[in-house]
Amino acid sequence: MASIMVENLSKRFGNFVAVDDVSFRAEEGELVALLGPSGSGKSTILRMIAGLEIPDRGKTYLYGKDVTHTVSRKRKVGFVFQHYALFKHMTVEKNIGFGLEIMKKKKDFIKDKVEKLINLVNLNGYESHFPAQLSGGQRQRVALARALAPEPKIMLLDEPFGSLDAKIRENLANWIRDLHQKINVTSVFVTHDQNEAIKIADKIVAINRGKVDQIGTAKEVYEHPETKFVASFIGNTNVIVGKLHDHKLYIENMAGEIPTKSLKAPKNGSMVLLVRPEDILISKKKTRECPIKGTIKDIYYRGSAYEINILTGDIIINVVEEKNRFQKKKIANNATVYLGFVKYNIFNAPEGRKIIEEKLSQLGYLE
Amino acid sequence: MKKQNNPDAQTGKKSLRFMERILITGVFLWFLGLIVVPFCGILKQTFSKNWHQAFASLTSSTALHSFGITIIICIAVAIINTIFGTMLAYMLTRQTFRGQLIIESLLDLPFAVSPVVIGFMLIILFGPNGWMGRIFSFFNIKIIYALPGMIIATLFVTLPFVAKEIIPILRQFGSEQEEAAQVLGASAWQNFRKITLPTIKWGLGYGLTLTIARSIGEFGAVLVVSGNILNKTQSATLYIHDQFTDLNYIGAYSASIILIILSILVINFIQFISKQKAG
Repeated sequence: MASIMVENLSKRFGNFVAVDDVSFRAEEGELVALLGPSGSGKSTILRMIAGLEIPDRGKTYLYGKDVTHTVSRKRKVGFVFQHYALFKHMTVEKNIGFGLEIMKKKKDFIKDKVEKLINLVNLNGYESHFPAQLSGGQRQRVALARALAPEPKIMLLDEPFGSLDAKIRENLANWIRDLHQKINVTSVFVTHDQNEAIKIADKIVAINRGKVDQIGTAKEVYEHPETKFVASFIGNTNVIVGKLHDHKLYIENMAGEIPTKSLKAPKNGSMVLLVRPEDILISKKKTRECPIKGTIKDIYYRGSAYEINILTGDIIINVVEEKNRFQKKKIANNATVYLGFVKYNIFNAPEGRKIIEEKLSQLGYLE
Repeated sequence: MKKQNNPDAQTGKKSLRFMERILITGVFLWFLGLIVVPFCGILKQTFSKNWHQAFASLTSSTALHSFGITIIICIAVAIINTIFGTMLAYMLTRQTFRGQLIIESLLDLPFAVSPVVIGFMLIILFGPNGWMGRIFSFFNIKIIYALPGMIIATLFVTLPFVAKEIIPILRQFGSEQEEAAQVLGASAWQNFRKITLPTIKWGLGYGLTLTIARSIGEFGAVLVVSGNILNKTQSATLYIHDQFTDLNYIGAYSASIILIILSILVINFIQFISKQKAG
């Protein structure tokens, strides 16, 4: 039985179709990401699951029970708001204990539980602070603890890291992943950040213009992208298609070959090469390290480095080189240069799964 | 370039400071002339010679009764406006319904319409021949020329104060915290009591202060509706008016001072508490 199941959810705001026929399910214990650009309707879906928004059409089931017309206070879900929505006039302690107080739990019980939660979210010493006295990350953790206090079976998180800076985001994302495993809940979180979705979600529901684009595990979504958005995960990596023959990689329409000694038991056949821009050498002369001929197309100044586009065969390769090193070479537009790959990942299509995973984790998309 | 810019900026600043001073002085004089001088005048008139006489007229049964009426009106209006003003503000900000904008713009009506006109409107409605008046007279309840009419008139005049204070607070507060409480299991009443009320309480307090101050001072609407019957439907302001027209200036002045002091106390009380709380 799925913990959460939504069927054909639709919602309009005036003439604007916010959510259009969305269906998906979250199995017990899963951490599901609703991924999409802002304005794609993903928050509205979350709010409909929580009962904060009433769908025009469609049904919501929580643990097999139709809750479409159940008021939100009876759905027993935990909800973390994008801007935390902490009760400004209450201390951290009171905020976290609010749900239990509403449930009319005994004072001792509440005190005990709140203390445990404060430990869990590392806010010891902040018990009697007010939200205004906390940093963004701290507020976020109070919001989490508050949602967790009544021990909901389902947690809904709306852009949980949206308004935090990059470093805290990453820590908090990992922390939430751990927490999710520690306590047995089913969670759905909304995000516009692919990295975050890939990093912590078991399942990704990609939303675009109120519709579901694709549903799958992080890996599935990578390997069998049904939409273009996966391409953006690969990000700033050169993807080169070549053929492997006798331990040498011949790149289609590319002048030159690459020795591939380092490859363990490579098979002959079609290959895909992933090379990061900073792992490419540029030389004015053809050497053993730099066997591939190319022509400089664009040179961009990027502060401490130069970004150079080099045409080889009929593909453009993106290279980043440190400022001083590049300047010494005195290379101008349209000059002929030779390229070499210092580091690269190579895989053939059928065996690609593992290598893509590794590659992605190297790039920081997977833990 | 820089050297040229700096003196310009400085003279700009100087002339700004000069203008500021003129403005501040102007506002101060205006305040002095409009509020402080008349108040001191009234104080001097009453207490310089005849304070025995002032005391005697203040403790007369008619005067005491009129103050009693004013206090009853204040309390009733304060309670009713707290409840309905808050409900009105809540409805206008949290619900969407047809005619919302019309209601919100009508909220300014009591400010715009003369209190005397409001009084006549109420007489037409609640008077012996008015259609509401007929209903009430069937149950033997007298509205016009009685205390209920005076309360209704004051309610009408003070209707906007509480709602107008709370509406912007509720708008700015947004509904996220209320939604958070809702998801955590709070009922509508629990939500209001534990989340909304603590947020609006100072706005409510201020609105209430204005309501009470206005209730103390209301004259026109109450005059029309009450009939100004001695020892029956005479409020403090009506008493002052009577004393004044009877050329009993001492009585009028002394009662006026009591009213002014009451108003000042009410206004400063809330400000004092809110400052204490904030500090």
